Amino acid sequence: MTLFFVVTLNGLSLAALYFIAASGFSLVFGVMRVVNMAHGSLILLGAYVAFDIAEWSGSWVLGALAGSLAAALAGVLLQVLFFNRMAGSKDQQTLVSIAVSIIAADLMLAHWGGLTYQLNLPSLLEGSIGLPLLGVNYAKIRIVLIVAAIAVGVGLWLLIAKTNLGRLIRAGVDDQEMLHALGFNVKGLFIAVFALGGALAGFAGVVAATALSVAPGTDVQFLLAALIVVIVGGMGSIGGAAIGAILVGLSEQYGLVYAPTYGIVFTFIIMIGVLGLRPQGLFGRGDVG
Amino acid sequence: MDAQDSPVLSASNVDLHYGSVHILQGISIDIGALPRAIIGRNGMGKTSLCRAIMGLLPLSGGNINLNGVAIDHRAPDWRARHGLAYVPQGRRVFPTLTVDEHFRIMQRGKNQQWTRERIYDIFPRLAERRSNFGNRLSGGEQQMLAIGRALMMDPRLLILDEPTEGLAPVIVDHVVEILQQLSTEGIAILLVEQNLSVAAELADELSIMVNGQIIDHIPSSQLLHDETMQRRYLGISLDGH
Amino acid sequence: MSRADIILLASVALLLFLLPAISSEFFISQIATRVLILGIIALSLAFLAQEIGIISLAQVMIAGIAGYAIALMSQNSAGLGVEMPLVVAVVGAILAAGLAGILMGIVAQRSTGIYAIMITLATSVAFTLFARQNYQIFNGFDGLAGITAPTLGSIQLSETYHFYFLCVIGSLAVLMFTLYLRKTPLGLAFQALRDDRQRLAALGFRPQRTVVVAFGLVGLIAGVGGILLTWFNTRIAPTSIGLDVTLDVLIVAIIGGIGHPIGAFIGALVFVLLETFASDLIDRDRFNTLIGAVFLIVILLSPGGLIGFGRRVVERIPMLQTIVDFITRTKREE
Repeated sequence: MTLFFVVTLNGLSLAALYFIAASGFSLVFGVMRVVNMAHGSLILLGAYVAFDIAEWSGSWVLGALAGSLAAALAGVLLQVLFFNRMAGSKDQQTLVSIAVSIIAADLMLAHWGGLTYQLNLPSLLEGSIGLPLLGVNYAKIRIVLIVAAIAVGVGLWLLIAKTNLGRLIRAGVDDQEMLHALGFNVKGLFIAVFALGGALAGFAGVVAATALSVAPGTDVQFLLAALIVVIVGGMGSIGGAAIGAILVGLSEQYGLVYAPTYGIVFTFIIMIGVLGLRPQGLFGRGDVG
Repeated sequence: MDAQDSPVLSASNVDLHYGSVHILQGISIDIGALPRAIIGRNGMGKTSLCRAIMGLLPLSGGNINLNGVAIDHRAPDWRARHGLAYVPQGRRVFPTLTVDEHFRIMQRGKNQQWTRERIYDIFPRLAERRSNFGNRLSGGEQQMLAIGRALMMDPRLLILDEPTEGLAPVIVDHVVEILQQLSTEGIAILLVEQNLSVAAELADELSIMVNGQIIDHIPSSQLLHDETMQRRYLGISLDGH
Repeated sequence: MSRADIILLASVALLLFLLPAISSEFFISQIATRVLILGIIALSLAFLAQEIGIISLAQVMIAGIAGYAIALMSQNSAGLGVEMPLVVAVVGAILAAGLAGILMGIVAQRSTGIYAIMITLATSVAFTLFARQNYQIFNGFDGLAGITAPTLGSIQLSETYHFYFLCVIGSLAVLMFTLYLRKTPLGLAFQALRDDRQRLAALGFRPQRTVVVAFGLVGLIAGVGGILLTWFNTRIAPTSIGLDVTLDVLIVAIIGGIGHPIGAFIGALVFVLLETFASDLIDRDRFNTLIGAVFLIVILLSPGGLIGFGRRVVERIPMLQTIVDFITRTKREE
C-alpha cells in the first residue's frame, strides 16, 4: 500500500512537470491556433541557458530567470519571424515549427554537446521530508514540483480570468478580427502570448533540469509529453492540460512499476480511448478535430 | 450643406475583388454630420463595404479618406483608434467575456468621453446583466453591447451593419432612438440595412446598393411610399420581408 | 492515367533502367537505390496528404511494421519468428503494413489538420518505444539483423545492381498504383473528402471510412518501402524507424512537393544528394542544420515544394510552356 501511495506521488510529480511543459504549448495553441512543434526546443533551451547562468552566477534563481527569459525571447522570435507571416495556413505553421525544431536541436547539440546537464538544487529544496501517515521519506523537490505546477496553473488561471491581458487573450481567441477592428494591436498581443508561452516552456526546462536532468532528446521527450497531454486534455484548455497531465503522469508511473515493459502502452491506450470518445480531447472545444 | 462641406469619411471609386468576383464596383460615398443609410438586398456588397472602410478587406482600387487624410494603407486598429467604430453584422460580441469585461478592455484613461458608466446609463439593461457572458445574452442585449463597446472608442463615425437584424420590434425602436440621439450629439453614422423603415427613420436620403454599385439616391419619404420602386430595387416590402 | 503521366512514367523508367550504364557502382548503391526506397516511403506520406489532405507522420512506423514482418518471416539473427516461403513473407509483410495503416486510420479517422499530425506522430513514437522495450517479438533495442534480400532462381537480389532494379520496379509499381488510383471512383471520393468533409457526410457518404481506406492503401505503399529498406540495411531496429527518420521522410515529401507522386522521388533525390555531399558544404555533423534550413526555406518560399516551383517556372517561360504543351498535347484553356 505504501508503494502504491509513493508511486501515486511520483506520478503526480511527473504530472506536475508535464503540466508545466504542456501549459505554454496549450496556451499558444488556444490563442493562436498554432501548434508549436518547437516547444520542446524552447524547453531544452531554457534548461541549458539556466544551467550556464546558474554556473556563472552561482544562483539558481538567476539561472531560472535567465532560462525562462531566453525561451520567452526565442518564442517571440518564432512568432515575429515565421508564424506572423503565415497566419492563414495552420499546416504550414506546424511544418515551419518542425523545421525550426530540427535546426534548433542541431545547433544546441553543437553548442552544448551531448552531455547531460543537471541544475543544482537550491539548498532549501535539498533532502527529503517524512510523509505523515505513510512513514516514508520523500524528496522535497518532488513535493515542490507539485506545488510549482499548482502555482503555475493558478497563476495562469488568474491571468486569464482576472487581468486585462487575460481578457484580451480571451477576446483574441473568440474573434481576432473583431478585436483588431476595436483598435487593438493584435500582433502585439500575439507576441505577448508567445513570450508567455516561451517563458512557461523555459521554466519547464528549468524545472526538468532541476528535478531530473536534460540532454539532447529532452526536447522531443517533452514535446511528446505535451502533445499527448493536450490531445487527451483538449487543446487550449488549461484545466484540460492539468487533467491530461495527471492521467499521463500517473499511467506512466504505474506502468513503470506494475508493468515495466509496457508503460508507454498505457499512456497510448488512454490517448486512443479519449480520441475515440472525444476527438477534441476531454476539455477541448469542438472546432479543431 | 455642412455635411457635404467637410465629410468625416469620404470614399471615392472604391473597388474590391474577392478572387475573380468584383464585389464593390466604383463606390463613392461621403459621410458627414447627417446619418447616411445604404440599403440593398443580401449579397449586394453592403457588408464588404463596411469591412473595406474598416480596413478588414483590402481595396483593389479607389481610396478612402478620414477627416481628409488618406487611410488606405492603415490597419483596422489604427482606423479604430482614429475615429472609426464598427458594429458588425451578427454583433460579434466575445462569448467568453462578460458584459463588464467587454467594456473594461475598452477603457483607456481619463480623457475618455464614453465611459463604462455612461454606457450603462444609456443601456440600463446591460448594467443589470454586467456579469453575464457574451454568449448568454439575448440578441437585443448583444446589439446594445456591440454598440456600447464601439462607442467607447469615442468615434467620429459609427459604422453599423444591419443592427436591427433579428431583433424584436420594441428593441428595434430602442436602437433607432439611440442612434438618433448619437447623431444629434455629433457622431456621424453610416447605417447599412435591409430594413427599409429603420433606414428611412434615421436618414432622409437612402442610397440603393445593387451588385456592388450604388445605383441611386432616393429621398426616404419617396421610397417609403413607392412600392414599385421598392420591389424593383430591393425586392422587399416595407416590413422588410 | 493521363497522357502526360504516361509520358512522364515512361521517361522515368527509361532513365532509371539506363542509369547503371552511365554511373558508378557507388552512385547506384549509395544514392540511386536509397533515393528510390526513401521516395517510396515518402510517397505514402505525400499521396495521403495530396488525396485526403492529411499529413501522417506514421508512415515510417508503418514501413517499419512491414520491415519487422518480413524479418520475422525470414531467417534472422535473433532467431525470432517463423521462416516462410518468400511469396508469403512479402505479401504478408505488405498486408501487415496495410493493416497497420487501417488501424492508424481508425485511430485518426475523425482528426484533421494539426490534430492528425499530432496523433500520428504520437502513435509512431509510442510504437518505436514499444518495439525498443519488447524482446519477445521485436528483439528490443537491437532489433532483427541478418535479413538479406532473397535469391530468385539464379538471380541474387542482394547484389547491388539486381537490388537496384528491384527498387526501380518497386518504385514504378507504386507510382503507377498512385497515378491509377487518382482516376478511379475511389480517387474522386478522396478528392471530395479533402475538399469538403462536411458536405460529403451530408451527401450520405461516410467520410471516416474513406479516411480508413486511404490510410490502408498508403500503408501498402509504405510496406513496399519498408521491405526494401530492411533488405537494403539487412536489418530493422527501433533506430530504423525513429523520430529522426520520420522527420526525414516528412522533409523529403514536403521538399519534393505533394502535388504529384513524382515529387516524393525528387525530394528524396535532393535529400540523399545533400546527405552524401553535405561534408563538402559544411561540417558533416551539422547536416541536420543544413537539411532543416532547406526544409524551412522550401516551406516559406515554395509551399508546393520543388514540383510547385518547377511548375511556376514553366508557366513563367512561354517557350517552355509551349514545349510542355506540345509534348503532352494538352489544350490550355483560354
